[in-house]
Amino acid sequence: MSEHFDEQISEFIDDEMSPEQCEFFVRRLQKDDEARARYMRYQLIGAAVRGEHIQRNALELRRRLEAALATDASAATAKGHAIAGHQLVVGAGIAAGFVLFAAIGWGVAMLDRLPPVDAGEFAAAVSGSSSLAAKPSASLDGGSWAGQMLVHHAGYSSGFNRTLTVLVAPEDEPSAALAAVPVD
Amino acid sequence: MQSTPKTLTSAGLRRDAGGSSDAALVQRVKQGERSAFDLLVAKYQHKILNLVMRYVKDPSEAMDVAQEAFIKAYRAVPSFRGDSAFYTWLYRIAINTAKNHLVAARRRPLSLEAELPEGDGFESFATLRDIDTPERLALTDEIGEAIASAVEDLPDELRTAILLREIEGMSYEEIAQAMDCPVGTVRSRIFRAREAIDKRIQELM
Repeated sequence: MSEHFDEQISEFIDDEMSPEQCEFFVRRLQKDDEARARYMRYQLIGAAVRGEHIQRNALELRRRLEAALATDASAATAKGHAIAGHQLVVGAGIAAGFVLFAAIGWGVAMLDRLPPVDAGEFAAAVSGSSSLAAKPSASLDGGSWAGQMLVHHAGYSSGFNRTLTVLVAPEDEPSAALAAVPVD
Repeated sequence: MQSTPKTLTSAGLRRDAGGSSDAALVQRVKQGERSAFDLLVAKYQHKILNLVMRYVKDPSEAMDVAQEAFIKAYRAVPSFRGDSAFYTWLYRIAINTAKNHLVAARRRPLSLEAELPEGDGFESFATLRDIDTPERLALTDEIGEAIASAVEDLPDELRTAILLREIEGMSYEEIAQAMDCPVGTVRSRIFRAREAIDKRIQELM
């Protein structure tokens, strides 16, 4: 270590360096154990000269702090890993939500493209039977998305079909089912 | 022996602000370099301990409080914006920690130490408190005496320069004016004074 560098330690302690010099100097100081030890001793000298009368336990404080902060850092790292794992799960949940939302959106958009549906076909599809006696007078066009959705699902999704049948289209009252469907 | 000029005693606590040096260290701490914080601790540990001891008389308790204050500061450094000097900020943390300690101590019905069982879990705690060993007290006294003696033995111009700097908190430029010499000479004198004192204490460290 050069005498010039030692003198810089003194200058740094006295805050007589420009910010740029400080930045450069600190980087060098951190890499140099001997320089750091000298820095510590100069600080100790300063405290003694200022009459801060060196606290007997001040010399111990740094050692204790070092140990405490090392433990703190380990804990923070462990906590960071735990948080990262939690964030991963939450992130996956959010992503799944987006996918579901997009799928629903896509489904709705696709419904808009369906051709107009005849109310009679709807009733037949809902009831699961082609021998419906009554044929309603109203028809459902492509703009009535709710009606289309009912027809769509009734026609192509057997499970949902059964649910709808129970809820809105009892076989003995086909017109009642139609009454529940918005009609233009 | 040349005495310290009395007219310069109000030169200021400005030097305590620690401007660029502290800012550079704080910046490094913010980047996650704990060793930079260690340099800040080395700089302020005596001041902080002295400060805390105004509130907490027991030395080992004061040590705990000072340690807690530094840990709080370390954790809070990322939020330190630099609106005030680092020491001012640290000073406030230390004062608050000491006051909180006193409030908590008043709420404690009995001395904690009196209730401690002699189990494994408390041995390390006891060890941490056992810091004022006779050897350590003798050593720190010896260091203090060595420094005082070394200062006495310094040539006048070196002693004046270091005293103006450390006691009066004057900048190199102010010292240069007071001692009627170039700033470079002041820098060199202060460094040589520290070097001379350092040689006397190195063997004790």
